[in-house]
Amino acid sequence: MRILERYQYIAWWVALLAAGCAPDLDVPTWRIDSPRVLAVVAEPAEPKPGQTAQLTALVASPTGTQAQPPLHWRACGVRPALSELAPVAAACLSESPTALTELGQGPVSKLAVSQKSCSAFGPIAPVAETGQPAGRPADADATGGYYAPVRVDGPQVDSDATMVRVRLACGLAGATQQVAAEFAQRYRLNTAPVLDTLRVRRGGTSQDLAGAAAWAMTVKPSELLQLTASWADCGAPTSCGDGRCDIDETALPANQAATLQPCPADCAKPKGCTGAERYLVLDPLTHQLHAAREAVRVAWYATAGALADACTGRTPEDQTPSTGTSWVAPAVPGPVWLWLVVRDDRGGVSWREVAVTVQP
Amino acid sequence: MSKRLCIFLACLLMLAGTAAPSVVHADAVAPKLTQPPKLKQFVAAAWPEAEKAAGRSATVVLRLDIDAAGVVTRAEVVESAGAAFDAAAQAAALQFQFEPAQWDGVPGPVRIVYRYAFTWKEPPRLAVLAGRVRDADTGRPVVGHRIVLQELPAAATLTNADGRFELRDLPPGPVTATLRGGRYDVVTVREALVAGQRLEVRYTVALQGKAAPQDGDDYEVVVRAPPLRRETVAVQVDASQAARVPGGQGDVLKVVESMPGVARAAVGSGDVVVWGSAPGQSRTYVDGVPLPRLYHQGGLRSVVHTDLVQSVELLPGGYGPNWGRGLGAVVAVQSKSLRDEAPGQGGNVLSTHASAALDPLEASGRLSVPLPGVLEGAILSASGRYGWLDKTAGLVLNSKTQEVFPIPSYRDGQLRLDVPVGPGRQLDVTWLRGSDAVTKTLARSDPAERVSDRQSADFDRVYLRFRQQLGDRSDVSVVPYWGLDHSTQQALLGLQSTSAGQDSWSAGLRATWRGMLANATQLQAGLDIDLQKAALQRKGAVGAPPREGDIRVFGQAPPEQVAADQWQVLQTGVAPWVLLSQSWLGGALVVEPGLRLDPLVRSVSRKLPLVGAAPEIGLYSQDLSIEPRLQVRGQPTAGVRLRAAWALVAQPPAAADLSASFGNPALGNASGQHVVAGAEVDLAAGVTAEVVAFHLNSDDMATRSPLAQPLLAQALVAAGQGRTQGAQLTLRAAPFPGLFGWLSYTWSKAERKDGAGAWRLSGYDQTHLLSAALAYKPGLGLDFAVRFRLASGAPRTPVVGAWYDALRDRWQPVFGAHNADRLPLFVQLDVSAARRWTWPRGWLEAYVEVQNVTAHRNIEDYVYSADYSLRDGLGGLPLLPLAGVRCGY
Repeated sequence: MRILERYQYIAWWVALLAAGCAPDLDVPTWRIDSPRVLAVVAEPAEPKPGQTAQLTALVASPTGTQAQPPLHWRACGVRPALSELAPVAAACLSESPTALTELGQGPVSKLAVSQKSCSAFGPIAPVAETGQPAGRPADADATGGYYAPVRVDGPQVDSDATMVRVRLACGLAGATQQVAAEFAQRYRLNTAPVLDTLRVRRGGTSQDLAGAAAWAMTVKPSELLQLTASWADCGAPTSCGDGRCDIDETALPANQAATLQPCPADCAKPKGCTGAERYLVLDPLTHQLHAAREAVRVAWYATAGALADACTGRTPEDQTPSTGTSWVAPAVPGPVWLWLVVRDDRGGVSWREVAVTVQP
Repeated sequence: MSKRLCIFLACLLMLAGTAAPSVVHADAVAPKLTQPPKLKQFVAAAWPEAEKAAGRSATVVLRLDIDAAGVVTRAEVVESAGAAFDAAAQAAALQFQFEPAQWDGVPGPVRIVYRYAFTWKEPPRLAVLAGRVRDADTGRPVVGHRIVLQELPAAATLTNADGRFELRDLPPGPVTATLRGGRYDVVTVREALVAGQRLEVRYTVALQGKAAPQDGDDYEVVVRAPPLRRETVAVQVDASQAARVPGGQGDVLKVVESMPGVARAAVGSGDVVVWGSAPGQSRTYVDGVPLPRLYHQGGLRSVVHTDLVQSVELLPGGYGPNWGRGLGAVVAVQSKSLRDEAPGQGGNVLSTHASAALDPLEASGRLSVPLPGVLEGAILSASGRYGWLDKTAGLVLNSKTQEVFPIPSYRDGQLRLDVPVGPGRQLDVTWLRGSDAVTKTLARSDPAERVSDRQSADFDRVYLRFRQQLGDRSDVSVVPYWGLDHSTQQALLGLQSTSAGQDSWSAGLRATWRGMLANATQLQAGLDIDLQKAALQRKGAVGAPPREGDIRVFGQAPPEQVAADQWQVLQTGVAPWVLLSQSWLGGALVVEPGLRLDPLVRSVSRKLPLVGAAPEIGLYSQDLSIEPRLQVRGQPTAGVRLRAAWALVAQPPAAADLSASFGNPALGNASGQHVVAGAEVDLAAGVTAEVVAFHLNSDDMATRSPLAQPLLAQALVAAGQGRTQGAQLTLRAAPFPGLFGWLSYTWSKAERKDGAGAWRLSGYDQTHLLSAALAYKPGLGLDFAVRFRLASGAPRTPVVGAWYDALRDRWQPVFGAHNADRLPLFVQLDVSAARRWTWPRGWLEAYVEVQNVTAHRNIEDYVYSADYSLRDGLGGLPLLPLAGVRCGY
C-alpha cells in the first residue's frame, strides 16, 4: 500500500469504479442534430520534423457533410503542466495570443512540424536556461506517441471547442543509442486506418458497401439494421512481396539486415497497413523495444434513427478486423446520413459517409 | 496520617539520656535519687482533629506521677497548648511505661515534668485511587470485587454496594491495578497516580463465559480508563461502548469513524480524515508499531481482530513527543495482554477458550490455549478473519451490480505468545497479518471504455512487547518490531495500462522509560527508531492516481502520457524524545514540556530519470526535525478542566513520492504546527461537555509542479501549504448504567495552497460535522443503539464547459474555480439491536443492524455524461440490513 499515498490509492480505486457505477446519463453523442467537427485527419498521419501535415476536418451536419466548413485553425504551443490532468493545456482553450498561433481559416489547414515541436511536445528536453539543469521532456503515450495540439473553431460548429492533436515522429526519449538506432530502422510511421466495407444486414439479407465511391443505401422506416464495418486485416504473417513493410522487414541487403528480413521490394518505399498495424514501442520501464498492435475503434454517427453504440472497436489483443453495432432507421421517411469514423490508437483517422434514404 | 509525623522531642531527649526532667521527691529528707525513671514505651499522641487544619506546632508541659512499677498514675497539665493538645498529650502520657526511679537503689514513686511537643510537618503528598466497577453487560455496580495494586499488595480493597472503591495514601507514580472477583474476568489496568491528586476511574468488567474479551466477544472489550497520561486532546470512547455503536457490526475500531472531528469518508474508502488532515498525514499504531492502514480495503472492517483490542485512542493534534513523523492525527490501538485477561479464577488457572463470529461480511474466530511442558504458564492465542463478502455478495447482488461495485476480499490473522516473566513484568510476541485484494473487470464494446483492475496489499508485523515495573516508582517498556509490506496494482483503463508495486521491509524500536522525579514531577523519555527499505516500480500516467489538489471529476480518464520508474528508498529515523510532567496546586495545574529530535537520513537510488546508458546516480539526504511540544492542563474549580497544547510536527516524504519520474527524490520533510485549546465541564453526574478550538498548519508538502516544463525529477515540489482551523463541541452522557451516548459537532475550514497559487479549500474539507450515538441496555441481554451522522459534502471543482478531443473521440471538461462546489449534505441514521444468551459454559449473541435506515440518498460524488452536458449524483449506501451471530465458551 505504501507505493501510493493512501488517499491517492483510494482515489484511484474510486476513479476506476467510475466507468461502471455512474448513473445512467446516456447522452446520444452519436446524434448529429447540429454541425459538429467529428474528426480531423492529418496527412501524413505521423509527420516528421521538417514535414508539413495537411489537416482536413470532417464537419457533419443534419444535412450531411459540410463541404466547405468555415473553420478557424490555430496551433497551440503550450504543453500542459503536470498538475493539469488533461491532454492539452488550459491555455490552448483560452484566447491567449502567446499560446495560440494562427494557421488560417477554411476547411483545411497545414501544420509545419519542426524540431521545436519535438522539444515542446516530444522527447527532446526543453532548452535549459543558462546555468539551469535540463527540463523534463514530455512523456509519450502508451503507443510511444507525441502530439502537437491544434485548435479548431467554427462559427457554425456547435461545440465549445475542438482540439485535434497531430502525432509527431520525434523518436524516443531516454533510450540508448543502440535502441534508438534499432527504433529508427524498424519503426514504421503510422498509416491511418481505412474502412474497406460496411456490411448491412437486415432480416436474412446482407448488403456490402465498399469501394471508393460514395456509400448509399435505402431502408424502410423503423427498420433494424446490423452494421459491421471492416478494415484491412494486418494480423496475417507478413511476407516479402505482400506490399507491406513490417517491423521485421528491412530495405537493407541481407548482409546488413541483422535479424531482420531483407525485403527491399516492400520497404524501399514503406507502405503501411490500413488496419490494426504492428508497431514498435519503447517500454519506459525496461527501456527495451517491443512489438505492439494498434487498437481500432469506429465511432458511429447518425442524423436520425437510433444507434445502439456510439463507439465500438477492437483491442490490440483482438485481431478481428471488423466491428459493428445496430441502427434502427427513423420512422419518418426522408434522407438520413450516417458517418463512420475509424481511428487507430496511434492517431490515424479516416471516415466514410453513408447516405441513407428512408422510404416505405 | 499526620500523626505519624509528630516528633516528640522531649521524649527523645529522655531516651537519649539528655533530657533533664525536673524531679521532685515527696520527702525532702528522704533517700537520694540514685536513678531517674527511664521511658520504656512511648505512645504517640493522636494529632487533634480540630488542630489538623491549622497545621501548627504546640508543646504541652505535663507533670507525671510514676509509681514504683513505672506506671504513670497521673498526668497534670502544667503549661497548656490548648484543650485539644492538652487532652491528647495527657491521654498519651498515661500510657507511657517507665523503668521506675530508684531511691538509694530501691525502686520508688517519682514525679517528673514532661514536655510533650507536637511538631507540625507537611504531610507527604499521597494519591488516591477511587472509582466504580460496573458489569459490562448490565451496567449495574459489581459488589465485592477485589482491587489490588501489584506494586503495593497491601493496598487492596473491595467494592461496596454501589460498586465503589477507594484506595488512599498511595505513593504517586505508575501502578498496576488488578480487578478480580466472582465469575468475572480478571482485568489489569495501569494508572498514573499524581501526588495530592485523586484519580477517579470507572472500570467495566465482564463475566467470563458471558463476555470474555479473549473469547471473541466484540462487545466486552475493556478499555484502560483513564490512559497512563492523558493527551491534551484525546478522543476516547470506551471500547465496550464503541462496539455497540452501529456501523461496525461489533468491530471496535470502526468507532473511529464516528469519533468527534473525524470526517465522513467516502463509502468504501476506509479513509481516516481528522480535522482536515489528509489520510496519508495521519498514522496508525498498534502497541506503538506503525501499521499501513487501520481498515481493510473498502473500509468494511479494521485490520486487527476486535478480541485483541484493549483500547483505541484518537489524538487529532497537539499530542506529546512520543508521537511523530506525521502531520495529522494519531490513531493508537493498544492490544490486550493475554495474561491480564487470563480467564481462570483469580487469573491463576489458565484454560482453553474459543470464540467464533459469523455475518455476511466475514467469518472470524479465536482460540486461546495455555501451553504445557517447558512453556507451562505461557499462553498462545490465534485469531483470524476471513472476509467472504466477495463470495456471499453473489447471493444478493446481480452480476451487473457486482460488475459495477468490485467487492474486496480481505483476510487477517493474529498470533500472540505470552511468556510468563514474573510479577511486574510483561512479555509477549505478536504477529499481525493483513491481506486485501480486489478485482474489477468491465467488458465494453468500445475498447476505450473497458476496465480491468487487480490490486492487492498485504502486510506483516512481528513485534515483541516487554514491560517492567521498576522498584523506584518507574517502569520501562520496549517494543522492537519488524515488518513486511507488499502491494501491487495492475490496471487497464481503456487502452492505457497502469502498474505499480512496492515491496518493503521495515524495522524499528519504541522504548519508553517513565518515572517520578519527585512527588509532583514525572519524567518520560523514549526512543523511536524506524527504518524502512522499499523497492518500488510504477508505470503509467504521472497524474494517475490523482493527488489531493488535482482538478478532475469522478470517472475522468487519467492523462494518457506514460512514464515509468523503478527505484529504491531507504529511510532511517532515530528520534529521542523527552517529556516532563510537572504538577502544581495539588494537581490543579499540570505543565508538560516535551521535545522530540527526529534526525532522518534518506537514500534514493535514482536522482534523475534513467536516460540511455547513463549510470544510475543515487541521492543521499538528511533532515533534522526539532519538535518542541507543550501541553498545559488546569482544573480551576471542581468539574472544570482546561487544556492547551502546542506542537511542532514533521513528516518525511512517502517513498512513492521520491521517484525521479513521478515525484522528486530531493523532497524533504514537510513540517507543521498544532495549536489546540479547550475546556471540559461536568454538567451533571455522568454528563460532560467539552469544547476544543484548534489551528493546524503545514508547510513544504509535496505538490505537483505547476510548470509546463518542469525540471527533471521535479514532478513534485515541496511547495504545498495547508491550514485548518475550527472548533469542536462534544457532549458525553452516561447518566445511569446501561445508557450512554454522545453528541459532537465540529466546525472546521481546511485549506491548501499549491505553490504561488491562492488559498483554496482542501479536498478533505468538511465544514460541518455532526455525529451522535446513543446505546441502551434495558436488561435481559438486550442492547439497542442508534447513530446519526451529518456532514458537509466534500468540495468539488465545478465543470463549466467541455471541449472535444478529436484524436480520441472524447470530451474533456473545462473547470471553474478550484473546489468552488460541494457535494450535497450527507445524512445517515443507523440502528442496531442485539440479544445475548448466556450459559454456564458459553454464550451466544445475535444482532441485527440497519444502516441508513431512512434510505436517504447520499451523494458520494458527481458524475457527468460523456459530453459533460449533464450531471447527476452517484448514490451511496442504500438501506442496508445486516445480521450476524457470535458465540464462545
